[in-house]
Amino acid sequence: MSLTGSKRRASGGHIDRSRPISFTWNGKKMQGFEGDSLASALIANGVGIVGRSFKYHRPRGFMALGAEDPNAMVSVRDAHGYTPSIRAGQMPLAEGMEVRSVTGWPSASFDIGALAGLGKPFFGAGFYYKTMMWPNWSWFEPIVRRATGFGRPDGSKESRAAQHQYQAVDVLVVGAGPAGLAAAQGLIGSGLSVLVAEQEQRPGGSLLWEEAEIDGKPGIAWAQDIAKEIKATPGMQILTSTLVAAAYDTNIFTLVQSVIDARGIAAERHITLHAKQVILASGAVERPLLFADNDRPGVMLAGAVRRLIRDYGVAPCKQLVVKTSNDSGWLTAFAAQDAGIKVVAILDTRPRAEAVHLAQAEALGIPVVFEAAITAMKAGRQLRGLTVSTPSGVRKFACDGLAVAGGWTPLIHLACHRGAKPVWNDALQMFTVPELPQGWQASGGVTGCTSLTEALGQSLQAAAKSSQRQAKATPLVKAPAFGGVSLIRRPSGVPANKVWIDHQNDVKLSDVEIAVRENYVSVEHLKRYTTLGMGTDQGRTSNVNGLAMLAHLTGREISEVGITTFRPMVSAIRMGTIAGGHEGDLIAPRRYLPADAVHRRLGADFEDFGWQRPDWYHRPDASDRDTAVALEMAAVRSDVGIFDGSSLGKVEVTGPDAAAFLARFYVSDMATLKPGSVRYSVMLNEEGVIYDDGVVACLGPNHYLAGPTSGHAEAVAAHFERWRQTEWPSSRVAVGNVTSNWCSIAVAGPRARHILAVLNPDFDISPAAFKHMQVREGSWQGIPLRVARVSFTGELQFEISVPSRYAEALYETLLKGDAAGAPRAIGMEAWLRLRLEKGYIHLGSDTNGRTGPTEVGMAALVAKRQDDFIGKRSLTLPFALSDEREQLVGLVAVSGKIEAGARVLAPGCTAPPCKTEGYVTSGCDSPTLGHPIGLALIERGFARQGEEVTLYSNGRTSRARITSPVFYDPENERLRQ
Amino acid sequence: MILLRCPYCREMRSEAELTWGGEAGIMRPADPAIASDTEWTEYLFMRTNTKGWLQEQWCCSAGCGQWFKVERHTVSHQIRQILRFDEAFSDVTIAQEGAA
Amino acid sequence: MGWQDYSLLSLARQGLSGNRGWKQAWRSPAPKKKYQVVIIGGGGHGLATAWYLAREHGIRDIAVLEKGWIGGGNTGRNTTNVRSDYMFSESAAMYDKALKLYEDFARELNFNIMLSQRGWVTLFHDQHQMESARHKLNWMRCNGIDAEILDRAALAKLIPGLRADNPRWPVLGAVLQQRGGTIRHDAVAWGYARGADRMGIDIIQNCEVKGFTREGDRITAIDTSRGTIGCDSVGVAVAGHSSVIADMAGFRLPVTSRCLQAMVSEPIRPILDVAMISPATGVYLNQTQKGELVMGAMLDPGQSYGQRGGPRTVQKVVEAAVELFPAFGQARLMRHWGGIVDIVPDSSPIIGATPVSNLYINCGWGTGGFKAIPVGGLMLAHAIATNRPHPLAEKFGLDRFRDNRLVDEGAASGIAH
Repeated sequence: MSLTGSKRRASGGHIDRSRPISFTWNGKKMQGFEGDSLASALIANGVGIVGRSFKYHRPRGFMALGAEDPNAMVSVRDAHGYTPSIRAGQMPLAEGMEVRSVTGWPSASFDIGALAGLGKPFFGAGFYYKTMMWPNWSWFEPIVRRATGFGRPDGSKESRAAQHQYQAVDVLVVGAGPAGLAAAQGLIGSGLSVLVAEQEQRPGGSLLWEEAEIDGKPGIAWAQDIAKEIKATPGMQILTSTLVAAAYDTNIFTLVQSVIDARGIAAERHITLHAKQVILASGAVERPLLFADNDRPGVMLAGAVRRLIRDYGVAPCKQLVVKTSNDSGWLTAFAAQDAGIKVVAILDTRPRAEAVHLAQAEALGIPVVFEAAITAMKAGRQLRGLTVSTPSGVRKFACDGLAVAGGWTPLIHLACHRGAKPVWNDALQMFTVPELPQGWQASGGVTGCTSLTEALGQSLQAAAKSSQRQAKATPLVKAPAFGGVSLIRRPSGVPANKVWIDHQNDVKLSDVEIAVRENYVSVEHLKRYTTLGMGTDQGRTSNVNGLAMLAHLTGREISEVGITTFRPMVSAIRMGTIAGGHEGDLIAPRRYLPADAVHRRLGADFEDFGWQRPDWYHRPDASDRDTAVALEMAAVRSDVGIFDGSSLGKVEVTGPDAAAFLARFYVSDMATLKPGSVRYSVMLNEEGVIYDDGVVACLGPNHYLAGPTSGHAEAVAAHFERWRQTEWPSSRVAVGNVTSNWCSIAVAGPRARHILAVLNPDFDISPAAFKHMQVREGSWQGIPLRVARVSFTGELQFEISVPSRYAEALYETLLKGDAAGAPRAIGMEAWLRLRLEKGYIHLGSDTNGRTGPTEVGMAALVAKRQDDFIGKRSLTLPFALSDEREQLVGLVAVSGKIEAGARVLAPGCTAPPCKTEGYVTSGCDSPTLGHPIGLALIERGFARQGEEVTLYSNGRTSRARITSPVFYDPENERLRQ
Repeated sequence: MILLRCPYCREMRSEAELTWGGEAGIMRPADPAIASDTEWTEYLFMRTNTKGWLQEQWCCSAGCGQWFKVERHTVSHQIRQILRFDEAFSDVTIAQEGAA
Repeated sequence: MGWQDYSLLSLARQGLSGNRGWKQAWRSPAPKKKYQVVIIGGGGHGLATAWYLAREHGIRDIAVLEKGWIGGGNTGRNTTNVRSDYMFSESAAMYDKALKLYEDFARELNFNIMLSQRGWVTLFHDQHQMESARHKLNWMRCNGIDAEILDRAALAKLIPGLRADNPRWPVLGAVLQQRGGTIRHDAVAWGYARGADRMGIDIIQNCEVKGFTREGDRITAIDTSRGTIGCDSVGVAVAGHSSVIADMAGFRLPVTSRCLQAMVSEPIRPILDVAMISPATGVYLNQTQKGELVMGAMLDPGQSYGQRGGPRTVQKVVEAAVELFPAFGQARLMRHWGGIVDIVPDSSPIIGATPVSNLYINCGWGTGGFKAIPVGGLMLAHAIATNRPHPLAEKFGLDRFRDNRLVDEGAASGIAH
């Protein structure tokens, strides 16, 4: 080997030694190989301390090699972007990666924060809740907060694409270890579509590192052959580097796949998958053991040590002690000895082991101690040795590595996301899910099975059931067994504050003791009070040990204690990947007016009103909003302006019962509307609150066009349709939302008729023939044309509609004007102020959730109606009859401004805090009238005409007089011209 | 995620394509004018809010636009019956094809 | 009663003696045959009710029945934001009382709930929202609630990671309530439980209510999984399951149970120093003391009692969060979960009397019950003890629905339009 201090073996493993990969660790150059994970590469390079723990800043080494590792949080900058924190085992090594520790200062191996360890006795479970209350928590919070978190996002741009995909399959197989592969193999030829998802880069699972022979082939060869067969089968796919992150109701899954294609382009795919059936073959992870000082760097799970040796060709130490409660440790000892590591001793917590293992240990010359307990570790920054209490006395061993095997924890997360209940199996010493969600089966390690033969059999049975066929014969297997597991016990003769349970969050046995003493004995209380299992590893290695200690301390069985709820995600996924390409307009698409291009050319400043609408237009004489708005208003009052109202709702209601149908929605009786006429009204919800307002035009017998407010069109059409279907299904009526089919351009001002005349419509537009509140249909150059004579501005006004595709042509034609001049383009702000001068309500501004027809002065209309309409009954409920509801009135300034949102103070009040009686719903300086005006909802407003009130807005007060809401042309002379 | 097969257009729709309409069987008083305040506000506001099998209204809003009725379990989200709006719920207890 | 003071001194003393002297924060007594008051629901509201019954009204013969573990419902599932930026004066008075009680919590109950008044920021993205923002600010100040308007520059300083020039949702400004912020949510349940226990109140966990024994219009006993428990009066604070208990007592509520999700990222270094909401995108977020980004937004569609949500909401929340804070794209989403909330037509709580003469209810807090816990307890305790609504609760009775006198805060600011 080239590197000094390298722990890489000369041979062995599935890495490709012909393809070296360079990377850096905290700035130091290192080398790994194709096939390495970041974790295996770091270990191979002799990195022992990879980070620090959360609370006491204890040095932390690698405990495991995957998502279950509580310790190895690092930041990674690679060719595709920056990952502020991830477990090293979850990241395949790639050329040029810059890897850094994210805990510890100035570095992970020398951390000043470790001084916190001196305070250990005082920082037990729950200490935050008991102190830092005087004078105030806010004095302490900044100090506490500064120390928290792993990496810091830097906001740099990712080149890693996030792609979203949607798929549906017949069967999802979770995991491509031996169990998953066997299940998939069993499905070959079934004709079912199958997706096999494997979190690791390569299929094979434990066959990558366990000794096994299947069907006469080495296990890994068997796995590779099946993977090939799956890939070659139409309808079947196997996705590696793919995490099944979450399971949802109706068998919807979230999968995240990392891919780098042949050109080196990386992507994370977010796959939403629907599966009819599921075979859960997610396996199990190994559990550590509880003993004194068990958090020292150099202590690793026994299975991880085997994997380092056999999968990655790394010998993590020179002298290894194995501590085990089942046969896993023995297998590690043999693998280590085989790899040239001196195995100093096997310490088994059980009183005996399999004879075959014992014989092998003897043959290899490995000392074996039964019923052994580690009572102390000799370790500074590196493990140097340990003290063991045995039935025959105390012994000391020198070592630089300790492999621990405490049994297995099945990865039942996905089933639990669906609500399956974990049940403690005392014989196996693990939680499994005996009852799976509908359509689910499980096989292999996740069921608690530790025998390869049995796992393959389960898988083939599951496949047979899924495909409703006979099960294929189970292949012949030669593999070592893992044997029984001894019970999880509190280590005896060891102080509780030396036994670490959650290595990320620094939860010790003594913390569980405190929690129990204080009666935080529900598992959820224990978790939340001590933070046990709440780290990024989601407690994979710590939960069960913690529960066992809780059970022990409270004199209960683990089955009585239970386990905390499993929540998605199985393992954290990048938020950028979830967001995917969904940004900006793709989250909330903008809606553009059909003549949008014209408005852009005219220099419109746009605002989002549900549609992108011109707010005002830049012109040589108007470079700021206020000037432009004033000029636009002046044009309408004295000459003519044109306004794009295409977003106005247009809902066609047709059929023999259309009139009666509409009458049920509006406060005004639409049944009496004559062809060619238009009527304004409001619509209520069943609670009697104004839901929408607008005009309804009768285009002919049985043919009506309702005009809901912009942005409400879809809702009103859906509202009509729902009532039609569910309440009056026998009504002979059809509802069609044609809002986008027609554009609608309003021409307003004294010269509006002249501009309409430019179109040369084929109907009489003279004042006598085409009156206010009438509608006409005809054509313009062969195009269907609808013109409604209505007014929102108080001036003579026509709303001209043609099919949307002619919007630009219509607008441009009108904009050219006639010989006397061109109309001015009018934006939303001017339009709204014009209607404010006229006192017309703007729904949602001048009405709120308590505004009924009475409150806007329509009580007489309601009183006239004999028949029912939606919301009518609610108008006689006590609140509607009370005078508590604010009434819409006008305001004229006495001093100062009238600003929308200003509160109307109660009589006698001069400044907040004080009682208020309403608010300004719309306000502006009226250029037409020369003084500020406003509309306001004020308690008992109708009866208070002429009264002066005080307004408060953002630190300023002003005075205003309550008036009629109609400020401009109260006799309606101008709009009738 | 809720998946329902629309009984009108027969397409399987996800909750993104559906609109939820609350409990089914909320009866509007036949003549609101003679309904008492209590009857009227019971209709407006009071709900059974069943924990268990609930009969409710959904609309195939991104599809055929029809309102239909569903019997769904409010804890497990299992579907027992999906009906056209004019059909009556039966007392079946066996799961029918719904979200599968 | 075994009250043990929590202080630096007691920590030091315990630390030096191996932490062996810590006493139970609350006992786990067997239920007695009968109590003067039985409170159903051992969440924040129920436990606070017990505490205020004892402290304000001198009633100590109380049991709090909890189906599972205390604080295990919405108290332990929310996004921990607290604020009182309400507009209707009756709402503002109520929520601000809650915030004030939270401000006094550590002194009153000798338990650090880590109230972090880092500021509650409501973003505004267009001119109409700025108008509503101004209305909100004015109304809050008139109600005596602290509020200020921030412009874009001030916001940039306060929230450095925020993409104010977002093309889809440009941030024009915000309303800040400085007293708003976050609390360590579990601690609220634990603090009240410890206080109530000290008053001699029995907290009975793993005790599910199965039904009621009635005499006329009164409840005389409660059938539970731990036997029948007699009572003079009953308080109910079981958000999410209010209709289920009401059904047992024979009446209906204007409540629909729905699933509200929340989610957290893996811990990252401090990057967001305020709690905030963007009403346009619906997302609200804060960063915990541990560094996790906590996020939530809209309800899942449909009625639900299943405490787990669907992927669409997760998608929407995360994409909105990343849209506002592009750097958050690098953080990793660790966990998401759901709680069942009581949705009522006007999004305001229902407090006090019910059709059953000795049963009082506290429900309908919608998505915002956590911030109201102290006042919810105070008001329910008052109703139970005096058979009259608390002055702060007068507008929030169940009877408001019969009058159609709704207190709809959302609609007060105008229909989105």
